[in-house]
Amino acid sequence: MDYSELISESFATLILNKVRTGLAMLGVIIGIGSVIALMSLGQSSQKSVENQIRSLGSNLLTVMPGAQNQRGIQGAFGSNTTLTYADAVAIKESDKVTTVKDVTAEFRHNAQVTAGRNNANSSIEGVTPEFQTIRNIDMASGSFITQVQMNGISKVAVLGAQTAIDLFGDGANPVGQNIRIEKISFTVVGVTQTKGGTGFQNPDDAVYVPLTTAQKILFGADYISSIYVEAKNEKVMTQAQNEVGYLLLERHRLKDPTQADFRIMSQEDILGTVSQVTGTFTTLLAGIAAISLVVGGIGIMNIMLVTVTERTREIGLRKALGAKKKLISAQFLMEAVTITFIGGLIGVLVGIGVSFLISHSMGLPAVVSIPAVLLAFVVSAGTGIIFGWYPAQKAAKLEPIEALRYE
Amino acid sequence: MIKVSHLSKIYTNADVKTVALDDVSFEITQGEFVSIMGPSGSGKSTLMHILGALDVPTSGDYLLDGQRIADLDDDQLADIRNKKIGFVFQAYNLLPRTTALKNIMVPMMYGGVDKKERIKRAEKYLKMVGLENRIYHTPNQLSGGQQQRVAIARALTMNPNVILADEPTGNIASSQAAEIMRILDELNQQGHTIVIITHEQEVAAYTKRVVHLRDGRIIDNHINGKRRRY
Repeated sequence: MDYSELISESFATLILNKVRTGLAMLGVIIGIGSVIALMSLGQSSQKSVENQIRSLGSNLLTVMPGAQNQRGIQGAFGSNTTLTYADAVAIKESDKVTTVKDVTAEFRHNAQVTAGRNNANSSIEGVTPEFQTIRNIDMASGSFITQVQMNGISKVAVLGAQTAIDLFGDGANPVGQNIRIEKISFTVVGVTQTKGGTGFQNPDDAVYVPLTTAQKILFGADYISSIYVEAKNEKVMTQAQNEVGYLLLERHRLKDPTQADFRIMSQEDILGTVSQVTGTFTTLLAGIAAISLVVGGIGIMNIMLVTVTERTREIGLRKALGAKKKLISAQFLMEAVTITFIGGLIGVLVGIGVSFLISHSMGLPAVVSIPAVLLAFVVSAGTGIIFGWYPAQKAAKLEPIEALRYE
Repeated sequence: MIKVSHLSKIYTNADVKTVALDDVSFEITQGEFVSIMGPSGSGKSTLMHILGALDVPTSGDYLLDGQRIADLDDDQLADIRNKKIGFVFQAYNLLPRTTALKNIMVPMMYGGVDKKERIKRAEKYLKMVGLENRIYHTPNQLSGGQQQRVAIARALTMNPNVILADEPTGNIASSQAAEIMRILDELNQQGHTIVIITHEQEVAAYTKRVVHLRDGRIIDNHINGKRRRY
């Protein structure tokens, strides 16, 4: 009796019990399906965030305020108000900084924006004109904030693609129209092209105004939220990071880097942090899904044990007709593995289908996690072997006369 | 070919000893047609299990074809059952929902017989028991007598040294029982050694020799002079 016969024998037996086989399989299908779906979704959201960060260019440094620490009370990260526009200008103009190509500063605050009857809660971004080139913003219509508007503290605004749709509807041209931010009237001078993005900082859901206007007219602040520094090329990133860091320490009259009231992060740093977070999240999801796989495996063990008891006479007969122990256990093991393997196959297809559906409806890139698929096959066959082993051994150990007598 | 000497089987259950076989000795030679008779509890089923290499005696020797069965391990016993013994059970013991053809091929599958050869032999023996028109019938589509004939065909496929039939007509209507006995007799005439375990005088009447068991002992072992023919 060879393997192909063993497989065809177990197929034949499984088909005789369609309902039972189907139910046992369902446990594996759900288990494998959810592992695949959740891992694929986790990876696709990770990829989406990574794409967003990468699209900003790899030679970008972000300077952010550190956590405030007043009389030993630790504030939230980014709560410090010591970073100013003057710092940004100094980075650009200092002789000590040789590796920097361009610098822009940003003041960010959420506010209610209205246009006629429509309103939106958007991120108001006070920026300098350099922001456009450094952050790769393309215009759909009109122009970006200019130096003249910056110097003149003009009440002009550039709308993100999504904000423009929210306020003026799809297809309308908002350029030249008025919007109100914090009850102050602004003229729309441009609309950006959609960048496509999700998450907390969606560049499409923003309103850009001159930095000076944001600080002086809208929010009355003299600090900024971040400075973006574009290094000359990727190779000098570390040098640029050091130069900017020591300049800011000196300007803030701090002696050494441990006292820094700011943080400088490269895109790679941000990418690393984000990947770590989404990676942990993906693993967590897969872990939860794996529990359902274990439950499915226990279901198979249960059904195989019932099967062994139910087929005691058959086992006795097979032994009387010359089946060796190894063959009996192989037969039952093969049945369990067949259930889990076919279940795993269907589960992979279901998982891929579900992840495609969800990522499509959420506008995420569709990613099929290949390692997850391969793992699923190994795990599903493994589940069959692990949970089929005990019932198979139980079957093989039956004494032929006891089994023949069994009623 | 079968040589049993001073065979004893004692079951111990919670310190209570039950003697199923007590110093049983006999021989069966090639080509014989023997019935082992006795009332229930006489030890004939135990003897059948030992002869069939399904069970081992507590003491005494059982030689099948010169081979001491007590010396063999589980896998070797499986081989003996597969190649040297053909079983016919009272309850037929066919695989449910499986065709007659497939049922007959089970011992050949375990015996490593080539696939083409299996089908050839299965068809040959189905024809021999008169069921060539029932090849693809499953047991629940066959009468008791027909099922037992499938079981006989299955017992023949590995060309065993001996056919052990345990109450072969016990579950069968008397009209069909004669047909089963006729087939067994015919097989004996072709040279097969046949041992029937039964408690029915009528069945034993067909055989050439009758061994009587009572309380685990042989009380009579005689040639059947007035042998009944079908």
